[in-house]
Amino acid sequence: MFDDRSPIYHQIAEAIKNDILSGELGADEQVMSTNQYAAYYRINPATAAKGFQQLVDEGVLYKRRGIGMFVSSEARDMLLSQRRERFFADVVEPMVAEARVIGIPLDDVVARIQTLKGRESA
Amino acid sequence: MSSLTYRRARASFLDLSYGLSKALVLFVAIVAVIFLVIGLIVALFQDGGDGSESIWENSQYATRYFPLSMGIMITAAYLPVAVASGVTRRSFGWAGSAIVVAMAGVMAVLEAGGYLVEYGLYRAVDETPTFTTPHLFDHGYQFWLIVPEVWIVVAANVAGGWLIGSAYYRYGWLGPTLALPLLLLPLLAVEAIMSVGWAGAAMDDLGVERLPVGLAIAAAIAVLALTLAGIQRFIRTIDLRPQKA
Amino acid sequence: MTFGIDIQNLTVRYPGVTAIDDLTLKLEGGKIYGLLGRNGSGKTTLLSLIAAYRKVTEGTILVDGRTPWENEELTQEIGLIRESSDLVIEGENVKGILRRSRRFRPRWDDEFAQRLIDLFELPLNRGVTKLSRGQRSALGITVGLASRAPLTMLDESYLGLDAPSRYAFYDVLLADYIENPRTIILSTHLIEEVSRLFEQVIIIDRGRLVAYDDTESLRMRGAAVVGPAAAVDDFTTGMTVLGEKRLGGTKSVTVYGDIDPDARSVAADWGLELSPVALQDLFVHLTKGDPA
Repeated sequence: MFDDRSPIYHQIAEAIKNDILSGELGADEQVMSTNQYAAYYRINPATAAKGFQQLVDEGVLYKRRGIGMFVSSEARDMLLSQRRERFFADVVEPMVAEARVIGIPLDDVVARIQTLKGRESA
Repeated sequence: MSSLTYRRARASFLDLSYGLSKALVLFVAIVAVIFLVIGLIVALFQDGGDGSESIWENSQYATRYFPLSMGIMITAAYLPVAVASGVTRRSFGWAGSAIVVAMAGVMAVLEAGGYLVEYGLYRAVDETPTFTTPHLFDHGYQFWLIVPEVWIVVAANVAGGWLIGSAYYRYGWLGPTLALPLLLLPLLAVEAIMSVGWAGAAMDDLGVERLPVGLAIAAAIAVLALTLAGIQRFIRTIDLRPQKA
Repeated sequence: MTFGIDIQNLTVRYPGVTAIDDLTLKLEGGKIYGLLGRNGSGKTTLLSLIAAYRKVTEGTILVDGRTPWENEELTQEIGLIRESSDLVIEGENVKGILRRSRRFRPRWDDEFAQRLIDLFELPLNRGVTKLSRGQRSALGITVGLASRAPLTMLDESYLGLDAPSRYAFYDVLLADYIENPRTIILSTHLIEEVSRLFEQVIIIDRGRLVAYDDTESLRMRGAAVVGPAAAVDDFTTGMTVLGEKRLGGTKSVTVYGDIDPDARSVAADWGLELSPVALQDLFVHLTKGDPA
C-alpha cells in the first residue's frame, strides 16, 4: 500500500483523493475514522490523523463533531481542476523529455495519441 | 509500612509460598515416610535393650538444610520475577522475611509433632527416647520448648541461605565463596546462642555455660531480626542481572 | 492514563564500557515510540533503568515526574519485557506466569490475556522451559500487553516469532493502543516491519542519542544523491554524509539533513537524482562504525 518515496500521511491523503476522483467516495459520504484507518493499514493513528487533517485543511474533507469526517461537496471538482492543472506539467512534459532522450520523434508520439483517440471514439 | 507496601508484600508472600509450597509439601511427606520406615525397621529388628535413642532426632538435619537450600533460591529465582512484575525490592524483602518465618514455623510443627508421636510410641513399649545432640528440651513431649527451638534455628538457616543466595546473585561466585564463613556468621551465632547444632556441640565440648532458656530465645530472636533487617537493606541495592544472551 | 519520561544526563558505566553516555531525552506520554539501536547500543540498559530494574547512578530519570527506583506506586504501573526471561521461573507453566501478573498488575485484563493466548496458540499447561523461543516471546508479549501498564516497554520482544505471528502482534498492539492509549516503547532492529507503528523514533548508538524525531520527518531527512562522481561530490560538500558507494563514474552518497527546494533544483540542473532512504538504511548509516 505505502512506499518510502514520500511521507505516509501524504500517501494517505493521496489515496483518499484518488478514491474521491474515481467516484468510490461520493460527496457528503463518511470516510473511515483515523483509528479504523490506522488499524486497517497498520500505521500509527497519529500519522493517519495527520493525513486526514491535511485533507480537512485543503477543504477536501470536513468534520462533524462527534460523528466523523465527510467528503465535502466541492471536493471532486476541486481535485479534478487541480489534477488538470498539473496534467501537462506532471505527465506530458516528462513524456516529451523522455521521448527526446531515447530518440522517439515527437511525430510518432502524436501519431500514437491520434490512434488512441480514434480507438476511443470508435 | 504503607498500605500499598503491605498489600504488595502480602501478594509477593503469597506468590512465594505458592511457588515453594509444592517442594515443601513433598519434603514433609518424604521426611515423614522415611522416618516411619526407619522406625519400623528398627522396631522389628532390634530387641529392646539400648534401642531407646531417638530416631526422629536425626530428622533435624533435613528440616534445617532443606529450608536453607530453599532460602538460597529466594532471591535468585524470585527477585527477578517480582521486580519484572512491578514489585519493589522493599516489598519483596518483607515477603521474603515472612517466608523465612512461615517456613520455619512449618518445620517447627513438623518436628514437634514427630517428637510427640515418637515419645508416645516409645512409652507404649516402656522406653523413653534419649537425645544425642544438645537441645533446649529433655523430653519429646515438651513441645513448648521444641517449637521455639526448631522455629528459631530453622529460621536462622533459611535466613542464612537467603543471605548467601542474595550475595551470589549480586556478586557472582568468587567473592561470596571467599566470604562464605562471614555469610554463615549470623546462622552460627543463632545456633551458638541456642546451644544447638554444631555450634552448640562445640560449646558443650569447650564447657561453655548455656544461657538460660528465656534469655537464649530472646537473644536468638534479636540476632535473627537483625539478620533479616540486614538482608532487606542489602536486597534493596540489587540490580537485576542483565539478560543472558 | 499515560506516563511521560524525562531523562537528564544519564550515564551508565560497566567495567570497560560506557553503556549510556550522558543521555538526555524527553518523551511525551501517550505515544508509540520506536527505540532503535544495534545490539549493545544501550537499549536494554536504558529500558532497565526506566523500569527500575537497575538503579540510576549518574543523571536522573523521571517517569510521570517521579523517580521509579523503589517507588511501588510507579513500578506497578511500569511494564518492561526483556525477551521475557525475567518473567519465568523454572518449573512453572504458562498459567502460573499469568496468575502472577494478575496478582501484581493493577490494570491486568484477563479476558484480553486469554485472547492473546488463543491468538499465539500458547499451551497453558506447558512448562515455561519447554516453550520454543517464539512461544516465550509470545508469552512476554501477552504479559506485556495484558498488564495495560501506562508505560509499557517491549524489548526486542518478537524474537523467534514467525512473520504471521509478528504481524498478528503488530495488529493487536495497535488495536489495543487505540482502545487503551498509553505510552509504549518498542525496541527493535527489524525496523522496516514496524516503523509505521511508531509516532516517534529514537535512535541510540553506543549509549548516545543519534536521532529523535517524528518517524515521518526522520524518514524524509535522509536522501541518496546519485549521479556523476564529480557533481555528487560538489553537491554534497558541507552536508552530513552518512555513507558513499561508487560504481565506475557514478557515485551514490547518502546524506542526512533537510534539502531545501533551491538545492533540489540545483541537483536537477546538474543531472543528479535525489531519492528517499528507507528508515532501515538511514538507521544502518547513522549507527555505522565499530560496535561498542
